Amino acid sequence: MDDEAARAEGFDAAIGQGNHQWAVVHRMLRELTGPNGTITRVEIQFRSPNIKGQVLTARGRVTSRADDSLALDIWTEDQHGTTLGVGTASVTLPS
Amino acid sequence: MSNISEAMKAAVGTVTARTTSYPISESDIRKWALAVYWPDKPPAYFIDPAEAAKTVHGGIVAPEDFNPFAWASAGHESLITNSLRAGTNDPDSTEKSLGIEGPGLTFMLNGGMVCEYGVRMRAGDVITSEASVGEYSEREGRLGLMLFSRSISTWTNQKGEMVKRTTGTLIRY
Repeated sequence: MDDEAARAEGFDAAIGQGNHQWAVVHRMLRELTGPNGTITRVEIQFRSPNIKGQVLTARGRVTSRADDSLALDIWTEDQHGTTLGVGTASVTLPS
Repeated sequence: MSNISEAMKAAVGTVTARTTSYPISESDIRKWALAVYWPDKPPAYFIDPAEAAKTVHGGIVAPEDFNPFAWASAGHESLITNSLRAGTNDPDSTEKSLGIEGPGLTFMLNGGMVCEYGVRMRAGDVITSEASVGEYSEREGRLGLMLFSRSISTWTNQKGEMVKRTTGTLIRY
């Protein structure tokens, strides 16, 4: 989508696909697990689109741990701290 | 009164389409990793076979979010032959694509997605994506009775192993 098409739909600038947020979340989870850990489940609700010019950051908070398995709350936000997507994830750390 | 008709209930589980990828190459995986880590460098285990050999995978595997259908597909088979015509952004397009009438609700929004992962994708894999109709449910919300419909995409590799199962939820009211 270009800027003009996005403005016609009511956005400030071209919007990115939810897959962009999805990829940033997975990058964050991989940094937690390393190459030998496992991402087992990811759930996310896209509440706002990511728009051209935004700086997208994925964050996570561990909510529970059972041995090597972690459950997390995850979210994406822009450079102003505005939440764009929220969800949960499950990962397994290497033994 | 429910918006879930008998025809909609009967459609749950229907496989609607099957798409097959070209064999994944290490170059595909490198390009994907470079894109999703840009402007930073991706981890060496997505790029360098020697580094990847040191991991539990014993070689290069694709990032979990890798999409082998991103560039092109080797084949696509639509399994629904009696689709009804639906306009752009038609809230009933889910049902019309199945050849049944939808509930005729006015508004729709993306209710999010959940993905469960199985085996990793690696070079040489041929991935088959099967799309199917998931469960319907309803819940009373601020805006009235909300209809939740789910679509399921299941990816398997050439050995029949589950790579991932993605469930998308559409909310209508």
